[in-house]
Amino acid sequence: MSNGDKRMRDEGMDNDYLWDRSGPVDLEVARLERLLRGQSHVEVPRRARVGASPTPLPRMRRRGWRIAFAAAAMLALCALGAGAWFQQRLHWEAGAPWQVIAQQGDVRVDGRAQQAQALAQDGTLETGANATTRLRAAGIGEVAVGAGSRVRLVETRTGFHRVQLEQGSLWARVWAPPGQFGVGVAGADVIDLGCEFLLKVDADGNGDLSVLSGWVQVDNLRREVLVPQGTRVRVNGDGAAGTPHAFSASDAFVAALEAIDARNGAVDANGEEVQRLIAESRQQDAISLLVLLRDYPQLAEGPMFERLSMLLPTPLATRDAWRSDRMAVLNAWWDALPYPRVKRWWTQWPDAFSSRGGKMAHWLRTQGNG
Amino acid sequence: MNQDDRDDVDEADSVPMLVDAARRGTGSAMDALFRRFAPMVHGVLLGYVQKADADDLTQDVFETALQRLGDLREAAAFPGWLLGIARHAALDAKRRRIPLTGIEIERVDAQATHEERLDAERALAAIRSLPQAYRETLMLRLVEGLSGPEIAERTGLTAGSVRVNLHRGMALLRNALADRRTGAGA
Repeated sequence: MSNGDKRMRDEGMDNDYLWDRSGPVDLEVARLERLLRGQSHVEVPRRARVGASPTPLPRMRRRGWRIAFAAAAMLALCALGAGAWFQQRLHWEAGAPWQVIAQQGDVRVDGRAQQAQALAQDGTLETGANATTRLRAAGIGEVAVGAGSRVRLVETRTGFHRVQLEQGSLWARVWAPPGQFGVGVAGADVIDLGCEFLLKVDADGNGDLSVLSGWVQVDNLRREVLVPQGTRVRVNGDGAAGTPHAFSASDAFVAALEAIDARNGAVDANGEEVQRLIAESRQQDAISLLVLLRDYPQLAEGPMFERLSMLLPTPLATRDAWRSDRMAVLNAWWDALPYPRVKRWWTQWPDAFSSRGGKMAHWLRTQGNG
Repeated sequence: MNQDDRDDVDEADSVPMLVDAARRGTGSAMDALFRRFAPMVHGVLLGYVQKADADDLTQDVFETALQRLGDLREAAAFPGWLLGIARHAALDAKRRRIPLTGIEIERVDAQATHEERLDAERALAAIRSLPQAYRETLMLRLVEGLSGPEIAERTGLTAGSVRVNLHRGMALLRNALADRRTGAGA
């Protein structure tokens, strides 16, 4: 036996199954192989860049460096330009009116029927049946007001833009840091966190909010709810906002959710509504379960905890961890949700180049208020 | 007639032959290198980022490597050179801490039970906590399914080094998993 072989045996390195799968099966290794096989590389074709080819010629390298420096300088200039453009985009003189981009049908500004050019601070815009208006939201986005709506421009200045939707429908697409744009309704404030959304309320402030991209925060003194893209939430003129649910959630799921919300916190962890909700829940419904567990922690004593653990698996989510540090478990689940992060609002940059305002205005005029 | 038609590449050709053919722009040689080394690159990346990101980054690493193939002086040094690009890409992605494909839930075997999925995540987390040499070797062995000799061939490490890394890494992993079980049960 050579010295190397002896050393390997001394150090327990004669496990041939681990080395080349020969010899007796090491049960722990075999178990790990089975558990982890789903993580392995899946054979796919190589992604070829169009027109790409290796650059094999050394004499080209020096020229390549010059090109690289030129490109870097160009990028730096572009970055400076983009920074200046961004600052310019956010800047807005206090109280300056918002420009009207387009309007159709019977539109009144401060009670007067006219072909409006702008909406001044504290001014009110009203649309009749089949009417619609598109406004530039300061420099940070666009707003479309649907038929049968009444909107007031409450305040507008750099970093803070607020409108009040007294009734009707409003679509907004904003690209700006979170919190700069907001819409007040009778029962809550709807704050943009870098997104596109559609809000519909009646004269009492009852309605719903649908988030099309990014995140929106719905806030009143009773409840604060973060609503991600692809979900909808009920807003109530005289109470807390509802719990967000996926657009694709089943009717039975939404009904169970509304029944739980109606109990205003006095909900039984093993109650009939909770059982129905869990039976109808899918991967896309994890946001609803997570918000419920956050706001009504007693629900964790029932089956909702296990269901959410299945929908958002994370090693941190154990009952012991929940009892000792509930926030850590909630944060782990929150991080596992399949939505873009709020702090990465800038990745929703296509919202800066609005091209859907016309279509949304048309939609709001024809059916959005139905 | 394009370059591909003139260069006939055999899948079993040696790495230097494939690298030379790829330098001449032979697409089939590039594909052969990708097929041979993609699991190695993927395994290294998985030590730093989630699977969905590792899938994407594997393609990025090969795009970068094939673009810069002219910078590689010795074709035989390709495995170690590619490994360096993969580690750099992984560290860069980790530093940015941005899931490249959005927030991803670790993909798991669709047949797996909930308990098995948790066990798989615990095992992955334990492997990721090991020192680099052990982490990468165990990822290639346990996740990518490469044998010790295959790991040595694809990484450019000696067989002895791979064997030592496998056994010491596995010993550390057993301890880490035992600790976690004890901790979970306590």
